Amino acid sequence: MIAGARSSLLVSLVALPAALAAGEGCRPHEAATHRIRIEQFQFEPAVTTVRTGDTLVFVNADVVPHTATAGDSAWDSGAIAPGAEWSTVVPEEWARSYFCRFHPTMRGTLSLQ
Amino acid sequence: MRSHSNHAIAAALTLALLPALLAAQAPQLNDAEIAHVAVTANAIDVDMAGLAETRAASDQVSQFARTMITDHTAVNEQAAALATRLGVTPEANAVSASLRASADSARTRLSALRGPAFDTAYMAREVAYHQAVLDALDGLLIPGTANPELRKLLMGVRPAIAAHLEHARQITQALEAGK
Repeated sequence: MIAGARSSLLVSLVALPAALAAGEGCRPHEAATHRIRIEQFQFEPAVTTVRTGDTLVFVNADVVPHTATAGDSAWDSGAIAPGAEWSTVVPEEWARSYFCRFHPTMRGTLSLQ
Repeated sequence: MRSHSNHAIAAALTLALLPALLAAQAPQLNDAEIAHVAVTANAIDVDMAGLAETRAASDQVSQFARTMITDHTAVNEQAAALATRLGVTPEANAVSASLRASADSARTRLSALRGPAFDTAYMAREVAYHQAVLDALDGLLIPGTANPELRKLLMGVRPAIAAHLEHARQITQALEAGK
Protein backbone atom coordinates (compact mmCIF):
# COMPACT_ATOMS: atom_id res chain seq x y z
CA MET A 1 0.00 0.00 0.00
CA ILE A 2 2.73 2.43 1.04
CA ALA A 3 4.93 1.28 -1.80
CA GLY A 4 2.05 1.84 -4.21
CA ALA A 5 1.41 5.38 -2.95
CA ARG A 6 5.12 6.20 -3.15
CA SER A 7 5.26 4.89 -6.71
CA SER A 8 2.22 6.92 -7.68
CA LEU A 9 3.73 10.08 -6.16
CA LEU A 10 6.94 9.49 -8.06
CA VAL A 11 5.11 9.17 -11.36
CA SER A 12 3.21 12.39 -10.66
CA LEU A 13 6.42 14.29 -9.87
CA VAL A 14 8.12 12.98 -12.99
CA ALA A 15 5.17 13.99 -15.15
CA LEU A 16 4.78 17.43 -13.56
CA PRO A 17 7.41 19.37 -15.53
CA ALA A 18 6.03 18.12 -18.83
CA ALA A 19 2.51 19.01 -17.80
CA LEU A 20 3.57 22.50 -16.75
CA ALA A 21 5.51 22.99 -19.98
CA ALA A 22 2.41 22.09 -21.96
CA GLY A 23 0.36 24.52 -19.90
CA GLU A 24 -2.04 21.84 -18.71
CA GLY A 25 -4.14 22.79 -15.76
CA CYS A 26 -3.61 26.54 -16.10
CA ARG A 27 -4.58 27.36 -19.70
CA PRO A 28 -8.30 28.07 -20.17
CA HIS A 29 -10.14 25.60 -22.39
CA GLU A 30 -10.43 26.83 -25.95
CA ALA A 31 -13.93 26.23 -27.22
CA ALA A 32 -14.05 23.67 -29.99
CA THR A 33 -16.52 23.28 -32.83
CA HIS A 34 -17.98 19.82 -33.47
CA ARG A 35 -19.73 19.15 -36.76
CA ILE A 36 -22.35 16.42 -36.55
CA ARG A 37 -23.47 15.22 -39.95
CA ILE A 38 -27.03 13.95 -40.40
CA GLU A 39 -27.00 11.48 -43.26
CA GLN A 40 -28.78 8.26 -44.14
CA PHE A 41 -31.04 8.85 -41.11
CA GLN A 42 -28.13 8.74 -38.67
CA PHE A 43 -26.17 11.24 -36.60
CA GLU A 44 -22.50 10.93 -37.45
CA PRO A 45 -20.62 10.59 -35.19
CA ALA A 46 -23.15 8.90 -32.94
CA VAL A 47 -21.16 9.93 -29.85
CA THR A 48 -19.51 13.37 -29.58
CA THR A 49 -17.23 14.32 -26.72
CA VAL A 50 -17.83 17.96 -25.76
CA ARG A 51 -17.03 20.53 -23.08
CA THR A 52 -19.09 23.45 -21.83
CA GLY A 53 -18.72 26.34 -24.27
CA ASP A 54 -18.06 24.17 -27.30
CA THR A 55 -20.17 24.71 -30.41
CA LEU A 56 -22.21 21.95 -32.00
CA VAL A 57 -23.07 22.28 -35.67
CA PHE A 58 -25.67 19.89 -37.04
CA VAL A 59 -25.44 19.56 -40.81
CA ASN A 60 -28.37 17.95 -42.62
CA ALA A 61 -27.04 16.02 -45.62
CA ASP A 62 -30.28 14.07 -46.14
CA VAL A 63 -33.08 14.91 -48.58
CA VAL A 64 -35.67 15.26 -45.81
CA PRO A 65 -35.87 17.64 -42.82
CA HIS A 66 -34.58 16.48 -39.44
CA THR A 67 -34.32 17.98 -35.97
CA ALA A 68 -31.72 17.77 -33.22
CA THR A 69 -33.72 17.71 -30.00
CA ALA A 70 -32.50 17.17 -26.45
CA GLY A 71 -33.63 13.98 -24.78
CA ASP A 72 -35.12 16.10 -21.99
CA SER A 73 -36.58 18.57 -24.55
CA ALA A 74 -34.45 21.40 -23.07
CA TRP A 75 -33.33 22.43 -26.55
CA ASP A 76 -34.62 21.86 -30.04
CA SER A 77 -33.26 22.90 -33.41
CA GLY A 78 -36.66 22.96 -35.08
CA ALA A 79 -36.72 21.59 -38.62
CA ILE A 80 -33.27 21.62 -40.24
CA ALA A 81 -33.97 21.69 -43.96
CA PRO A 82 -32.04 19.46 -46.37
CA GLY A 83 -28.65 21.04 -46.99
CA ALA A 84 -29.02 23.42 -44.03
CA GLU A 85 -27.25 23.46 -40.69
CA TRP A 86 -28.02 24.56 -37.14
CA SER A 87 -25.62 25.37 -34.37
CA THR A 88 -25.74 25.84 -30.63
CA VAL A 89 -23.30 26.30 -27.76
CA VAL A 90 -22.99 23.67 -25.07
CA PRO A 91 -24.20 25.21 -21.77
CA GLU A 92 -23.27 23.96 -18.30
CA GLU A 93 -26.41 21.92 -17.90
CA TRP A 94 -26.73 19.69 -20.91
CA ALA A 95 -28.77 16.66 -21.81
CA ARG A 96 -26.55 13.70 -22.63
CA SER A 97 -28.74 12.40 -25.43
CA TYR A 98 -30.57 13.89 -28.36
CA PHE A 99 -32.80 12.62 -31.13
CA CYS A 100 -34.72 13.66 -34.25
CA ARG A 101 -38.30 14.57 -33.38
CA PHE A 102 -39.50 13.58 -36.86
CA HIS A 103 -37.67 10.24 -36.76
CA PRO A 104 -37.33 9.24 -33.09
CA THR A 105 -35.30 6.16 -33.91
CA MET A 106 -32.43 8.52 -34.83
CA ARG A 107 -30.40 9.11 -31.65
CA GLY A 108 -27.09 10.68 -30.71
CA THR A 109 -25.08 11.00 -27.51
CA LEU A 110 -23.02 13.83 -26.04
CA SER A 111 -20.21 12.66 -23.82
CA LEU A 112 -19.20 15.46 -21.45
CA GLN A 113 -15.46 15.78 -20.95
CA MET B 1 -63.01 -3.93 -32.55
CA ARG B 2 -62.11 -7.49 -33.35
CA SER B 3 -63.18 -7.01 -36.97
CA HIS B 4 -60.92 -3.93 -37.19
CA SER B 5 -58.00 -5.98 -35.89
CA ASN B 6 -58.80 -8.74 -38.34
CA HIS B 7 -58.84 -6.22 -41.17
CA ALA B 8 -55.45 -4.92 -40.06
CA ILE B 9 -54.02 -8.43 -39.85
CA ALA B 10 -55.41 -9.35 -43.27
CA ALA B 11 -53.90 -6.22 -44.77
CA ALA B 12 -50.59 -6.91 -43.09
CA LEU B 13 -50.54 -10.46 -44.42
CA THR B 14 -51.35 -9.30 -47.94
CA LEU B 15 -48.54 -6.77 -47.82
CA ALA B 16 -46.13 -9.23 -46.25
CA LEU B 17 -46.66 -11.49 -49.25
CA LEU B 18 -46.24 -8.62 -51.69
CA PRO B 19 -42.51 -8.93 -52.36
CA ALA B 20 -42.85 -12.63 -53.14
CA LEU B 21 -45.80 -11.93 -55.41
CA LEU B 22 -43.93 -9.14 -57.14
CA ALA B 23 -40.86 -11.28 -57.64
CA ALA B 24 -42.93 -14.13 -59.01
CA GLN B 25 -45.04 -12.03 -61.31
CA ALA B 26 -42.49 -9.56 -62.58
CA PRO B 27 -38.94 -10.69 -62.02
CA GLN B 28 -37.64 -8.41 -64.77
CA LEU B 29 -38.23 -4.68 -64.68
CA ASN B 30 -36.30 -2.11 -66.64
CA ASP B 31 -35.05 1.09 -65.00
CA ALA B 32 -37.99 3.17 -66.25
CA GLU B 33 -40.39 0.64 -64.71
CA ILE B 34 -38.42 0.50 -61.46
CA ALA B 35 -38.56 4.30 -61.30
CA HIS B 36 -42.35 4.10 -61.72
CA VAL B 37 -42.63 1.55 -58.91
CA ALA B 38 -40.57 3.79 -56.62
CA VAL B 39 -42.60 6.90 -57.44
CA THR B 40 -45.87 4.98 -57.01
CA ALA B 41 -44.78 3.53 -53.66
CA ASN B 42 -43.96 7.01 -52.35
CA ALA B 43 -47.15 8.55 -53.72
CA ILE B 44 -49.25 5.81 -52.10
CA ASP B 45 -47.84 6.55 -48.67
CA VAL B 46 -48.41 10.29 -49.14
CA ASP B 47 -52.05 9.59 -50.08
CA MET B 48 -52.56 7.33 -47.07
CA ALA B 49 -50.95 9.88 -44.75
CA GLY B 50 -53.29 12.56 -46.13
CA LEU B 51 -56.20 10.39 -45.04
CA ALA B 52 -54.55 9.84 -41.65
CA GLU B 53 -54.17 13.58 -41.09
CA THR B 54 -57.95 13.95 -41.18
CA ARG B 55 -58.78 10.78 -39.23
CA ALA B 56 -56.06 10.20 -36.64
CA ALA B 57 -57.08 10.46 -33.00
CA SER B 58 -53.65 10.53 -31.38
CA ASP B 59 -51.02 13.25 -31.75
CA GLN B 60 -48.23 10.78 -32.43
CA VAL B 61 -50.16 9.21 -35.31
CA SER B 62 -50.89 12.69 -36.74
CA GLN B 63 -47.21 13.63 -36.44
CA PHE B 64 -46.18 10.36 -38.07
CA ALA B 65 -48.55 11.05 -40.97
CA ARG B 66 -47.10 14.55 -41.42
CA THR B 67 -43.59 13.09 -41.48
CA MET B 68 -44.66 10.55 -44.11
CA ILE B 69 -46.00 13.34 -46.31
CA THR B 70 -42.83 15.42 -45.93
CA ASP B 71 -40.38 12.55 -46.43
CA HIS B 72 -42.06 10.67 -49.26
CA THR B 73 -42.79 13.91 -51.10
CA ALA B 74 -39.13 14.89 -50.80
CA VAL B 75 -37.99 11.50 -52.08
CA ASN B 76 -40.31 11.73 -55.06
CA GLU B 77 -39.07 15.22 -55.88
CA GLN B 78 -35.54 13.85 -55.85
CA ALA B 79 -36.61 10.93 -58.05
CA ALA B 80 -38.33 13.30 -60.50
CA ALA B 81 -35.20 15.47 -60.69
CA LEU B 82 -33.05 12.42 -61.34
CA ALA B 83 -35.42 11.06 -64.00
CA THR B 84 -35.36 14.44 -65.75
CA ARG B 85 -31.57 14.57 -65.62
CA LEU B 86 -31.29 11.02 -66.97
CA GLY B 87 -33.96 11.58 -69.59
CA VAL B 88 -35.95 8.64 -68.21
CA THR B 89 -39.75 8.65 -68.24
CA PRO B 90 -41.13 6.31 -65.55
CA GLU B 91 -43.16 3.55 -67.22
CA ALA B 92 -46.33 2.11 -65.73
CA ASN B 93 -46.11 -1.65 -65.22
CA ALA B 94 -47.79 -4.59 -63.53
CA VAL B 95 -45.93 -4.12 -60.26
CA SER B 96 -46.89 -0.48 -59.81
CA ALA B 97 -50.46 -1.33 -60.84
CA SER B 98 -50.53 -4.07 -58.20
CA LEU B 99 -49.24 -1.64 -55.56
CA ARG B 100 -51.88 0.91 -56.53
CA ALA B 101 -54.71 -1.64 -56.45
CA SER B 102 -53.64 -2.84 -53.02
CA ALA B 103 -53.44 0.75 -51.78
CA ASP B 104 -56.89 1.62 -53.13
CA SER B 105 -58.33 -1.35 -51.31
CA ALA B 106 -56.57 -0.35 -48.07
CA ARG B 107 -57.74 3.23 -48.41
CA THR B 108 -61.36 2.12 -48.80
CA ARG B 109 -61.06 -0.05 -45.71
CA LEU B 110 -59.36 2.68 -43.63
CA SER B 111 -61.84 5.33 -44.78
CA ALA B 112 -64.58 3.52 -42.89
CA LEU B 113 -62.73 3.83 -39.58
CA ARG B 114 -62.53 6.68 -37.08
CA GLY B 115 -60.61 7.54 -33.92
CA PRO B 116 -58.53 4.91 -32.12
CA ALA B 117 -59.74 2.16 -34.48
CA PHE B 118 -58.36 4.17 -37.39
CA ASP B 119 -55.06 4.77 -35.58
CA THR B 120 -54.54 1.07 -34.92
CA ALA B 121 -55.42 -0.01 -38.45
CA TYR B 122 -53.42 2.79 -40.11
CA MET B 123 -50.29 2.09 -38.08
CA ALA B 124 -50.59 -1.67 -38.68
CA ARG B 125 -50.82 -0.91 -42.36
CA GLU B 126 -47.80 1.41 -42.21
CA VAL B 127 -45.72 -1.28 -40.50
CA ALA B 128 -46.69 -3.85 -43.11
CA TYR B 129 -46.30 -1.41 -46.00
CA HIS B 130 -42.84 -0.19 -45.04
CA GLN B 131 -41.71 -3.77 -44.41
CA ALA B 132 -43.01 -4.75 -47.85
CA VAL B 133 -41.30 -1.78 -49.52
CA LEU B 134 -38.06 -2.57 -47.69
CA ASP B 135 -38.23 -6.18 -48.86
CA ALA B 136 -39.03 -5.08 -52.41
CA LEU B 137 -36.07 -2.66 -52.37
CA ASP B 138 -33.70 -5.38 -51.21
CA GLY B 139 -35.06 -8.26 -53.27
CA LEU B 140 -36.25 -6.65 -56.45
CA LEU B 141 -35.63 -2.97 -57.02
CA ILE B 142 -32.02 -2.30 -55.95
CA PRO B 143 -30.55 -5.51 -57.43
CA GLY B 144 -32.60 -5.05 -60.61
CA THR B 145 -31.52 -1.48 -61.36
CA ALA B 146 -28.94 -1.04 -64.10
CA ASN B 147 -28.34 2.70 -63.89
CA PRO B 148 -25.88 3.45 -61.05
CA GLU B 149 -27.47 6.82 -60.21
CA LEU B 150 -30.94 5.30 -59.91
CA ARG B 151 -29.51 2.46 -57.83
CA LYS B 152 -27.78 5.03 -55.59
CA LEU B 153 -31.08 6.88 -55.16
CA LEU B 154 -32.86 3.67 -54.15
CA MET B 155 -30.07 2.75 -51.75
CA GLY B 156 -30.34 6.26 -50.30
CA VAL B 157 -34.07 5.78 -49.76
CA ARG B 158 -33.56 2.53 -47.86
CA PRO B 159 -32.54 4.11 -44.50
CA ALA B 160 -35.64 6.33 -44.65
CA ILE B 161 -37.91 3.33 -45.14
CA ALA B 162 -36.14 1.43 -42.34
CA ALA B 163 -36.49 4.42 -39.97
CA HIS B 164 -40.17 4.82 -40.84
CA LEU B 165 -40.73 1.11 -40.23
CA GLU B 166 -39.10 1.25 -36.80
CA HIS B 167 -41.00 4.42 -35.89
CA ALA B 168 -44.28 2.83 -37.00
CA ARG B 169 -43.53 -0.22 -34.86
CA GLN B 170 -42.87 1.98 -31.82
CA ILE B 171 -46.17 3.82 -32.26
CA THR B 172 -48.02 0.54 -32.77
CA GLN B 173 -46.59 -0.76 -29.49
CA ALA B 174 -47.46 2.50 -27.72
CA LEU B 175 -51.04 2.32 -29.00
CA GLU B 176 -51.27 -1.28 -27.87
CA ALA B 177 -49.89 -0.40 -24.42
CA GLY B 178 -52.36 2.46 -24.10
CA LYS B 179 -55.44 0.31 -24.67
